[in-house]
Amino acid sequence: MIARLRLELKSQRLLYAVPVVVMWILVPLVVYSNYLASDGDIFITRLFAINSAQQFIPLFAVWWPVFVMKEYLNAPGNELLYVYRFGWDTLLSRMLTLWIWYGLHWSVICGVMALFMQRLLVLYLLVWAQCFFLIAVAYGVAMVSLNTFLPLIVTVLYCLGCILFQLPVSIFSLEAPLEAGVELWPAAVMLASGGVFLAAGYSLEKRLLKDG
Amino acid sequence: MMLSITGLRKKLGRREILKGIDAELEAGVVGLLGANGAGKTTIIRCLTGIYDLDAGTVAYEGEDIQKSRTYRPNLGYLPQAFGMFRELTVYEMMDYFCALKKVPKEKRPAMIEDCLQKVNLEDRIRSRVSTLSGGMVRRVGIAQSLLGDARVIIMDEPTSGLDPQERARFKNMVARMKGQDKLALISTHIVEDVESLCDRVLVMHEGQVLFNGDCEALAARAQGLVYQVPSRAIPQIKGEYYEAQVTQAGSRVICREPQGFELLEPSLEDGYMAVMKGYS
Repeated sequence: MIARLRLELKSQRLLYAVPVVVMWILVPLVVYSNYLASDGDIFITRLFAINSAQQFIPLFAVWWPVFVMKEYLNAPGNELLYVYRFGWDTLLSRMLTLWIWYGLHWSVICGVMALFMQRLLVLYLLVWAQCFFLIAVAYGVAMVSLNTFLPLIVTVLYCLGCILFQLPVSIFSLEAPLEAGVELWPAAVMLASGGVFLAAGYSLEKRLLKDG
Repeated sequence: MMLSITGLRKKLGRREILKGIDAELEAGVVGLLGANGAGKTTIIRCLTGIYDLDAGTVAYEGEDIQKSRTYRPNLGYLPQAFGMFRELTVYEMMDYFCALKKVPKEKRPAMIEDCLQKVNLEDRIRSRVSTLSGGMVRRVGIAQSLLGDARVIIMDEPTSGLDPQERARFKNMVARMKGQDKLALISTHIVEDVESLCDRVLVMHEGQVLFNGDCEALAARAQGLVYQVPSRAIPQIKGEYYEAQVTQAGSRVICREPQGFELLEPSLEDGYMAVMKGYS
C-alpha cells in the first residue's frame, strides 16, 4: 500500500508541496516576523507561535488526504481501484498513514521551534490531535457525500472561523495551551471524536460502490 | 469451466437490474451485446467482485470468486471510463497497477514494456497521462488490463475512442489470445467487433440473457427473416425494417439499392436484432 500511496501523492505534483510550504516556510516566517515586531520578546513570540501553529497547520492536514480520496471517489474508472483491494488496503489506512506522514513533518518544524522557545510538548501533542480530528472529519464527510470538495470547504471554513476569531483549532478550548498537563483534555476529546468520524466513515467505505 | 454464473440477481436501488443470469464461460473470446440499460455493466461489476450479489453465485474454476484466492490475481479489468492519476507518467501508472495486482517488482519493467508494446504506446512510456489523447489513454487502460498475465480479462467498451488503425491492432491482440487458455469478455455495442473477434456471444436484454452461443448460431436466428426490397416498396412494409446502407469507396459510390424481394443471408447484426425483437 505504501508504494501505491507514494505514487498517489506523486500524482499530486505541485499540489503536494502546498502543505510543506505552509508548514516549513510560511509558519516559521510569520513567527519570525512576530519575533522581530515584538523586539525579540520570546514570551510574546511563543504565544504567537502556539496560536499560529494551531491555526495554520491542522488546516493543511486534510490537503493530501482530500486529493487522494478524490481519485478513489471521483476519477473516471475509479471502480478499478476497488477490484484488487484486500484486507487493510483501505482509504481508512491511507488516512491514518497520511496523518502520521504529516505529523512527522510537523515534528520537524516543532523540534526546530522548540530549540528557540520553551518546551512545546503540549502544543506538539495538541496539533497532532487537531490534525487527526480534521482528517477524520474530512474522511467522514467525504464518505457521506461521496465528494471531496465538501470536506475541503468544511475544513477551510472551520479553520478560517478559528483564525478570524483568534481561536486555536479546537471546538473545546478557547485558550491556547500554555502549560503541560493543564490543557491536554481537548486533545483527548478530539482524538475520541475523530475516532467516531473514522469509524462512521469506514462503515460507509466498506459499502462504497457495492450497491451502485 | 472458467467462469460459471448461476442464478445471478442484482438490484440497484429498487430496480432489479439482473434477473437471474445463468451462463458458463470457457476460455476464448466472448462478446457481451445488449442495448443501453440491458445490464452489461452491472454484470461486469458483479464478475469483477465490485458489486455484492443479491442472489446467485459467480465461480472461477469451481470456487466462489468472493472466496477464491486465485481469481483476482488472474483478473484483468478495463472499466468503461478510464483516467485516474493523470499526472503520473504512463510507466508510473502501469507500475501502480502492477503493485495493485501484486506483480513482483523484478518482473514489472519487462511486463510493462510488453503490455505497452501490444497497444503501440512503448514510445510514450515516459509521457504524463495528462498529455495523451483520449484514445491513447484508452490504450493505456487496455494495457493495464493485460498486466499480471491475467487469465480472465473483462473489458467494457474497449474500442470506444480508438481510431481504425488501433481498433485493428486491438483485434489482432485479442485474436492472439485465442488458444492461450484465457477468457476475454468484451462488452460492446459494435456488432462488427463481436463478429470479427468473438467465439461466442451473450446477448442481454433487460437483465436477462436472451442468447448464449456462437456467432454463427446468433446469425442463424434471423434465417429466413432478412429480405432486400426495392426502396419504392418500403412504404408497403408492415412491421419493422432498417434501410440498406449507402457507402462511398474511393470515387465510386456503392449503393446497395435493393433490386427485388431477395432473401438474404443474415448477418450477426440481423441475428442480434431478431433475438432482441423476439422474432426468432
